[in-house]
Amino acid sequence: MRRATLVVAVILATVSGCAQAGPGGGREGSDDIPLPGQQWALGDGKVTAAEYRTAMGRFVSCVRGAGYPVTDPVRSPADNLTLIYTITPSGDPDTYNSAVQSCNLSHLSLVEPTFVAAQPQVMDEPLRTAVGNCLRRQGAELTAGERNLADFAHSAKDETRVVDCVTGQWARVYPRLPAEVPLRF
Amino acid sequence: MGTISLSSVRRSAAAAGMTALVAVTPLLAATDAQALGNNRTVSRSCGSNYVGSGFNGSQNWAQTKKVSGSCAGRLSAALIRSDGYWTTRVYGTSTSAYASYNSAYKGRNGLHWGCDNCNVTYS
Repeated sequence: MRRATLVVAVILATVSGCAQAGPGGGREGSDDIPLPGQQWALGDGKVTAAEYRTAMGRFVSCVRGAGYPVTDPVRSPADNLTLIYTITPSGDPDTYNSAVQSCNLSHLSLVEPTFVAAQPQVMDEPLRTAVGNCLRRQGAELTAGERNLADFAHSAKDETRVVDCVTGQWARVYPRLPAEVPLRF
Repeated sequence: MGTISLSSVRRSAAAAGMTALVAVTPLLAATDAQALGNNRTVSRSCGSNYVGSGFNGSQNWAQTKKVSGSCAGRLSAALIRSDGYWTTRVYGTSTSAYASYNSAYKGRNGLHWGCDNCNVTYS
């Protein structure tokens, strides 16, 4: 019995430790490998705006089909490229998390960053002004020519401070926009 | 009808106990006692990533950022909200990924991945 208990403890320690490993720090699972549902857009190595909108439409339909309301996507003022939306979760969190991630992997996970990375980002003027003022208050020296996240990060020599200013100003500048804001530099 | 020895009962009890513990292990592994803001650099054989998260009173944020190394793949990040729901996982670039969520409530954890199908790290 004691030996069995010891074996159980070793298994628990091993599995728990593995699950908490650093990014890529061990176990890989097949459950988040992008599914073939995105290949139609990724096949030529480029994603057009129309393809991105189609992929987003399929993602939204997928999430709605799983029973969760989703607002119609709008362009994020942070880059004028990424489409943002609000999903209203309900019920069991594990079921919800799994459903949304499944839709993400099926339709959007690689299409979106591939599209955004290949396009010039331009932050909307109200947010640009607010972020610039926020960074100046923190001592950053800006050129006044910053137009996007990467420009601000270059001038401030720090991505994290830029993220802090964007997220800190977001609700004040855009109180009615979706609360989830993906940022890509 | 066969007889059941005391030792076989003990073996069965031990096996049942092991089965039960192994069954709940994924639940134990999926939770993290550390709250939002357990920021640190984590390493794997091909390099290191910085994982960070925080709450500024109106926004929760999580970042996964490459520090060094030659790890292939796309970084990603998400947040566990105060109600247990995850924000949609944001797939970034090979050097960084940022997720944020506007809320008056502090989230539970940042979630970080060093490649598309890598294991998750909590912050």
